[in-house]
Amino acid sequence: MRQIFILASLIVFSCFSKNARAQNRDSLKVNKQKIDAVYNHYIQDGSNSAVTGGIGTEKLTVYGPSLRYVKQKGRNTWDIKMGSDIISSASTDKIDSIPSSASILDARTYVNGSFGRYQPKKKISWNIGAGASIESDYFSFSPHLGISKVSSNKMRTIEAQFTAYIDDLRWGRLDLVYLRPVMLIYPDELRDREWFSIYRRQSYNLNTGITQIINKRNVVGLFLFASRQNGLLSTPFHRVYFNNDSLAVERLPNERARISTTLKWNSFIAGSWIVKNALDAYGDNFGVRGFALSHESVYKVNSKLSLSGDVKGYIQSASRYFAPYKEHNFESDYFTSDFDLSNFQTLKLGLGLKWKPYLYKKKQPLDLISLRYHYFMRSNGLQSHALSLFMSIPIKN
Amino acid sequence: MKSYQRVYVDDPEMQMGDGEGAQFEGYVETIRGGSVPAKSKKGGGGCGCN
Repeated sequence: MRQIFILASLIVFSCFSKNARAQNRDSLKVNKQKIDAVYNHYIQDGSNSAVTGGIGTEKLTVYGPSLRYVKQKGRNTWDIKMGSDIISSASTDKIDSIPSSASILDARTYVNGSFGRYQPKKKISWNIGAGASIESDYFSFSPHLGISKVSSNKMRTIEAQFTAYIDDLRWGRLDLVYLRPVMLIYPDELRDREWFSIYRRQSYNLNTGITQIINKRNVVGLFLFASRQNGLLSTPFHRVYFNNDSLAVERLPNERARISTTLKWNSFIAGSWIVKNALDAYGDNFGVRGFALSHESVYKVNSKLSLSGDVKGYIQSASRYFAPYKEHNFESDYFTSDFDLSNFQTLKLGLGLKWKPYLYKKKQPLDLISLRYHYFMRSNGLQSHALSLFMSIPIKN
Repeated sequence: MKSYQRVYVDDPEMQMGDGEGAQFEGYVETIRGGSVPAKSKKGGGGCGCN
């Protein structure tokens, strides 16, 4: 009897070992590369620009191409992304009194790189990386660190990601005369004094989440975001007009704490329909409170093509430091007329398409094409349109 | 749950993350609204002041 028990134990142990080895071998066999090409096009119009004190045009066009290279070999993943948002803005041209093509056109160029590794025995993935972005009046460096763990039955995933943004708001890096950070840019008529003695901004963001598979067709996720910002949180070229007709540069506190939570529920309902619902709640110590409800329906026409439609409603209460044009008391400690911090409601409507034209074909020059369009409207009159084209191109080893 | 029972929950559309297009929209929303939703890609860095 004892010999049979030992023999059975050895067989079971051997099976588990084989299984574990097979899994490890599978994870070591992976060797694939791809390039993701994205183009985002964004146009916006409104009449509450913060550059001109809460009045004036917010007309803006962003042309945003980017490329991402991903290499997965064995348990390791390398991920590099770079791109540029070329910004044509009517409002930033109002920083000085001379309309010019130089100030109307800006670009935000960015690069992000990360390395990730999967540990199959512990079912833990971790990643580490850094990013940087540069604009004419802004430089940002952002290291990040993340970890996620899948439960032994693969039903639950717990994740955490920490990102720090170390920003410098001085202008001059992209100016051919200076090619180095020189000074903060104030509105033309307010350059007779230095409004701020600091020029750096730091943000420390922690994103955590838990995803739980409920059954064969339902997945829920709960996510928490906490952030601490300090440094120069005011934008130095935002004007504020007071109720006594005086004028100043926007002034906000040098500390900001933000917290938000998101609850998501994705459900593969009958037939080929997937519905995704989400609730967002947000609060910060500037007095901004936000609440959003969103829904997306995806219809899988066949294994190659899916169509989607989505809607999102959002309400926000104003920051205690916000007042519109000429409504601020000149004795206030902090003041802004930036309508992004005002009381408003927004509605976003979208359509999407995903197509895998070469699925099941021997040669796959293209893995996926995705096209998304969104219309966005804010209750103060701001409207925007966004179009995103995404292509995923596999690379042969 | 067996592997063959995961066909729906493993579908790419059932994942909690956002695709590239949705990431850009989220980035814009965090600028045009005062809030930052949890799991969004943006929370600092970049002017966003245009």
